[in-house]
Amino acid sequence: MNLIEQYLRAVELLLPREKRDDIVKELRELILSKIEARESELGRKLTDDEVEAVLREIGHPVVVASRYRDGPQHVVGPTLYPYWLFAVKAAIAIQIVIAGMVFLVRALTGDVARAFGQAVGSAVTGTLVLIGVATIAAWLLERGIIRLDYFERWRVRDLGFLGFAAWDGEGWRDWFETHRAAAPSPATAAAAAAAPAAPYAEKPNHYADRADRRRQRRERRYAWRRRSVISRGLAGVAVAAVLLLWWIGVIRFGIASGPEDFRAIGIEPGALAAFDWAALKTALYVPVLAYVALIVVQGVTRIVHPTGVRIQGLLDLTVAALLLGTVAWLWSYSPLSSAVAVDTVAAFVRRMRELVETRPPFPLAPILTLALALTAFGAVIRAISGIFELVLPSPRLWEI
Amino acid sequence: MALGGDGDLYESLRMELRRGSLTLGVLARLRQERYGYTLRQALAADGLEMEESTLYPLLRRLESQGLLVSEWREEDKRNKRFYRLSTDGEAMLARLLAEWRRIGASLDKIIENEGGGTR
Repeated sequence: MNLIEQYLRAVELLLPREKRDDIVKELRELILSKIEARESELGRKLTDDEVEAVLREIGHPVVVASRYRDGPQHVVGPTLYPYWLFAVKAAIAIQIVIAGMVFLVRALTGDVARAFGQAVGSAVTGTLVLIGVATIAAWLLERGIIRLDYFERWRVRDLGFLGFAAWDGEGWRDWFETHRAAAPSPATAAAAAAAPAAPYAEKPNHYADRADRRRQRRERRYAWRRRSVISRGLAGVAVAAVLLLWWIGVIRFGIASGPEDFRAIGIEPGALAAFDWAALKTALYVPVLAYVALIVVQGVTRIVHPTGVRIQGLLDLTVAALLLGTVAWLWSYSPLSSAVAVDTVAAFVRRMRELVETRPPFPLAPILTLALALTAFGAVIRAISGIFELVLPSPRLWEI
Repeated sequence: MALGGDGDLYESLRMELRRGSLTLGVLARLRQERYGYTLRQALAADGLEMEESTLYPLLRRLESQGLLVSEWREEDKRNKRFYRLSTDGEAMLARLLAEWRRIGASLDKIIENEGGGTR
């Protein structure tokens, strides 16, 4: 009897708590029925060995308990597996590229052996962290904690982007070949010509006709870009997740910012050599975190609510405001201000000329000025498109 | 695919083929009330051998899906859990059997059209 209780105890420990008692009770009864039947067959009590044989016939406790469990018994299921594998491959590729670049920079500045060690170390930990993140994401998706309706809403044109075939060497080449040649295949062109592209195309209206042709041309040129909103959301979330992990220090790319690092990549820090970058990073910690978080939110909203153009507009406006605020602070009030700010447009132009005309090493301050100006410009564009999305709730031209 | 050889491939395809039929067999057998152990014997006598570790969880699942009802009752001085087809289960069984016959008929037609297969 002891053997049976021992066996049942082992099964019990592996069962979900709420169903334990019931299952064990039933299982005990089944085992006893089986042993009794065997005993009446033989006309005697079973030996311990024979009892064990009966238990072995029923199966290993792990196997038996697993059959009683509901819900997924895996971390990454067959549907998600290709995506998971793609994420892992991409993570490894990104890490190798970054580690390689950091290694080159560091090797040029001196200690090759140490640089190599650091590169390998950061690549390995970074890769493991990214694999972990991909696995956690898959676990959540498998259990329905995060819901993706991508598999219901996917479009054929997403597949070029998320298609895993494209992620080996040959696939890459094909991808470039198909997409570089913007000209449509004869079949697509014929289909485009045959299809009544818009209701107003039927009217013999000269302007509409011309607008229509322009639209067709644009569609052809940007056809490869027209991924569904959802795949854009997925891409945004993926990139932002890596950025976020880096910013909060979970992944390290091995980039530090000291004067010698700047010189190594051909930039002359000048007066900024003694600048306290760590303090700046601390000051920017929250805005950057907020920015990345907003990108994630935007991506998730795209996935969950692909038709919500107004929400996207609102998010675009928020992101733009955050960016503009941060740039304004850096420009006017931050410790960097004296180095990067210029007062007039003329001074800005002079600065850019200075940047273009010097030979490496490039001065750092004008580079930062340019970066801030570009960021501000991008933010303004984003704000404008955000306002458009908010006012006219139709998808942006290139997303139609 | 990491399948060792033809034997393994056959085994895995066979399991796939069997899975649904076993449910059908269990439901049909439980038109008459039984408990787990005798049910397994009855199925084996009909030529449908089933592992315990497959059958018992299947019974619980079908019960939780409302296709079976169960009751603990004493028999031969021991408490046993008796299963029986529920009203829902009966309706479901009828539909599944119709589908099963339809598939069988289609397969027969296909096999005959192909020149009888092994015949």
